[in-house]
Amino acid sequence: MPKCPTDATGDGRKTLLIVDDHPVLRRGLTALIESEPGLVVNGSVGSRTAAFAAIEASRPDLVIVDLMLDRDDGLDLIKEIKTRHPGTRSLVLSFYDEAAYAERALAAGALGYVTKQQMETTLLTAIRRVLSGEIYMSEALQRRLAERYVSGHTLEATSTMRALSDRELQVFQLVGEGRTTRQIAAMLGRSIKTIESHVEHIKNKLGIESAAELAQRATQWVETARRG
Amino acid sequence: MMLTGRTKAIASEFAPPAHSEPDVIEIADRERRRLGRELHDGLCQSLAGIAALTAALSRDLAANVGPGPAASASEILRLLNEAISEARDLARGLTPVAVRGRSLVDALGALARNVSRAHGTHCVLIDDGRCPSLRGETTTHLVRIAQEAVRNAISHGKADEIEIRLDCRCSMAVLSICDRGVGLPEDFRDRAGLGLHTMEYRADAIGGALKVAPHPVRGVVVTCAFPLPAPAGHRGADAQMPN
Repeated sequence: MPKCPTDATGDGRKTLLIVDDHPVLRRGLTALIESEPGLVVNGSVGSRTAAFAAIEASRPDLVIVDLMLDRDDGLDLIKEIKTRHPGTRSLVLSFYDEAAYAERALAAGALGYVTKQQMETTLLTAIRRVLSGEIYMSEALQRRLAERYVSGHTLEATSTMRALSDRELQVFQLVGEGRTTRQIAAMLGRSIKTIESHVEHIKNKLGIESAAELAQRATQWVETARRG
Repeated sequence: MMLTGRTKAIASEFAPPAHSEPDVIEIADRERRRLGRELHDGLCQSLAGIAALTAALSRDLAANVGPGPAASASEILRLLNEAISEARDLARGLTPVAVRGRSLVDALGALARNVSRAHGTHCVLIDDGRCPSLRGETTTHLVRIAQEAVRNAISHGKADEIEIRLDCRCSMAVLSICDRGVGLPEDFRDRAGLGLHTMEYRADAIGGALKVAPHPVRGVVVTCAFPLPAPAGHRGADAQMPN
């Protein structure tokens, strides 16, 4: 991807950075965003390291983040962007159901959550909304948050998952995708012991007794999250 | 063939390290999850990228060329989105129903619910409430047979309705999966993708027999007749295939 000059476009257009580990998706996303007047994609990268290099070089107005990056965690990336570059907004674009991840993404600092299935219909609206300083969320998510605010609780399956920290949920998701402890340790750059300790915490918090039950619950969770 | 004690000792010494049955199931399940993940996180992402490119093309054509070409691009976009849905459904279908620790009826019920939810196909379990407790290995084989038959009914038979039945008599039981789809292709026995051989192998492994036949009215019936654990003193009743 050729780099555009720093300090955006100088003509009032808004600049965006795409962080997604899939090159075809980055290519399509760039074309879709640039078909909208006033928006320009001045970088598209596939990892956390490349994302920070691009943010520092081109100071985009908005970063579009995929939650499941190959080697990095999208939620971590959003938190880090918020801390290191508080003026840079971020918006999540994910294949995972918003019921599973949207609230965590917003809590991490993202200003919106769009699923890839709604990309053609809602992404450009979401980008506009976030660039104008608002938060973008679907009507279903607004309703869910409002209901919880009123009732103080929710009965949805995803609510039991709230006991897990972001890192624990990440490990749980990877278990559900069929990864071994060793693979998870390598992916997250942590020791096997650390992952085993996360797994123990997950089991305690969710009342899971055996490794088989853990695999079963994690598999069901992944299936639910992919339903979006 | 009888083996002498010494031959047995040698045979066991040189036998490859065997995985236990739970290991084999776990490895197979893990592999299915991996395939599901690759479909979801690989192919679906590519298709979504192409869909986004096509959406951009459609907008460009509408603005600069004319409504005809723009409509063609929109048609491609619609088809791509259908393909994405199919691939996502397939990825979900690959997620194995967790079997271990569940009774056959529970696991088949979970399968029916998952299918109804994920595919929008009406799938029900009808059981006669007489199924005795089975060995874990038997349960796993039966659930996988049902899962394969259901997958065929949806992918190949385009079924909108599937019935899973479990009928238990004194010494034998019949699991049947009956769909209201378009039926079997003529060369279905040669089609490796239908998983027929795997289903037959599984039926054989539990001492049962598998039959795949067209439904008298519409669709396909897959039946697996298998022996139930005999009460003490009543071993050996033969399982017979239903007509």
